[in-house]
Amino acid sequence: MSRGTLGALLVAGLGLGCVHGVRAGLARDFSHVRQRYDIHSLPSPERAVVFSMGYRSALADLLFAGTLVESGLHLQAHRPFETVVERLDVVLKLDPKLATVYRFADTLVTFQARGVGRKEYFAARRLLEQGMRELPYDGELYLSAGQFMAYVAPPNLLKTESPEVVAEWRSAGARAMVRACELSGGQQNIAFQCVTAASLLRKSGEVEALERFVERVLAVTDDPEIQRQALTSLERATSEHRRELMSQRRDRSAARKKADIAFVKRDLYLLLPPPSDVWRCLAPGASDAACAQSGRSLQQATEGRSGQSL
Amino acid sequence: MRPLALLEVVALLSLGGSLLAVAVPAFVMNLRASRLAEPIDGLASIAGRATLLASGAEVPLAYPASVAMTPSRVPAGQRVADPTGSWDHPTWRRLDFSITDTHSFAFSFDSTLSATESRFVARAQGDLDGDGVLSSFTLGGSVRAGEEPRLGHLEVYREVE
Repeated sequence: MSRGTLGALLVAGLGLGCVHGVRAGLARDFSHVRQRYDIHSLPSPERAVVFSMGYRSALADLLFAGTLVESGLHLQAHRPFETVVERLDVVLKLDPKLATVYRFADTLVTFQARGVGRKEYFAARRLLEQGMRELPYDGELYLSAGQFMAYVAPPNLLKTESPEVVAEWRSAGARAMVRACELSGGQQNIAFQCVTAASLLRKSGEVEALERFVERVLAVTDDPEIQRQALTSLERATSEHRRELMSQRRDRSAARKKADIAFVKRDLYLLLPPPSDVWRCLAPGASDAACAQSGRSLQQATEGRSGQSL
Repeated sequence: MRPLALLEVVALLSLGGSLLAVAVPAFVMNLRASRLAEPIDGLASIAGRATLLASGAEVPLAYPASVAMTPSRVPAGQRVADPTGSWDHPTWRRLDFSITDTHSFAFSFDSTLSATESRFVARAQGDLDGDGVLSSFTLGGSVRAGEEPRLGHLEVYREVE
């Protein structure tokens, strides 16, 4: 055996001996080490944009993936994730249209291993409202935000906030859910859940908004159970006369659809122009209703003739 | 090219081994941690919809009926894709909850309904390392007659198994 080989084996043996000697103590010390606080190591949102060197979406994806991992690690350690809002702010500054972030925002911020305070609830609302501004046609996001603001957060805010503040949260949640209903079209499941938003509007005294909302739900859904619930919520809030006028308008629309193209779903039918007969419209003395080019002009022509208006 | 001397090989292996000894467990831990978003987001979704349903219903009918763990076998150590129809139970449909992608956790919904107070507990169970020991996440809520529905806090049990 050469001297070099012998030296190498000696060094290896010494190394193994050292490792064996200190490993147990280090492992014991390491097991006692616990991270207690978070340090926000990311640059400010504005600097992060510059730092991305143009690859904003890529960096946003990377940071959001890291945030999900960090959230899981904090959960394992039963620690609050103190910097989650700052991290999400950076991600959203980099890519404001990243829908996944808004979908996870309230969950990441408020569902932590330990309970969270008012600051987190307000931060989650801010992020969701930003999402609704950035993605104004995302019905799922509106529904999720509405649920959070109307039902999930208020019971936890009652301890620290005045009843007026809590009522404002519920009202904002109801408005978001109303918007979700409008965006959902005829999706039965969402429409069914959205009907419950009507009770919030009724409780907060927003009768006009309730009427508009229920009328839209009734206009787009064929489900008799949803219609029954929507009408029940309306009965509690509006006069019989108003309900009668709305019912007449609904019946006129249903009769027109039945006579025109009955097989089309209600929400799709509302997108179509009214049925028109060109020859009858060209005839002398033709009524405005026969020549109507849009639902609104048909309604005006019809209501002008019957002397009714809503 | 000169072949590596034994001392160099030993040094290289020591350094590489040290790096791997740190990197591999950290990677596995991060991988599992990233999968914890699935149960939390799922439970938040289920609980949010359940609370929404409760707000528009009478107390004895506040929450949908109980549904057993779906899929019935908790995925063990791997992500699974559910057969068609796994999430067709009326309760999952009312809660508007289903998983179409591969996933690592199974979910259940238990409700207790009465005239004065109704409760629910949504549960997620997983076995990320496939050792047969389950981690469990629960989120519950309740509604009493004359009051708005309430949502509890997330409870985590044996999250790293």
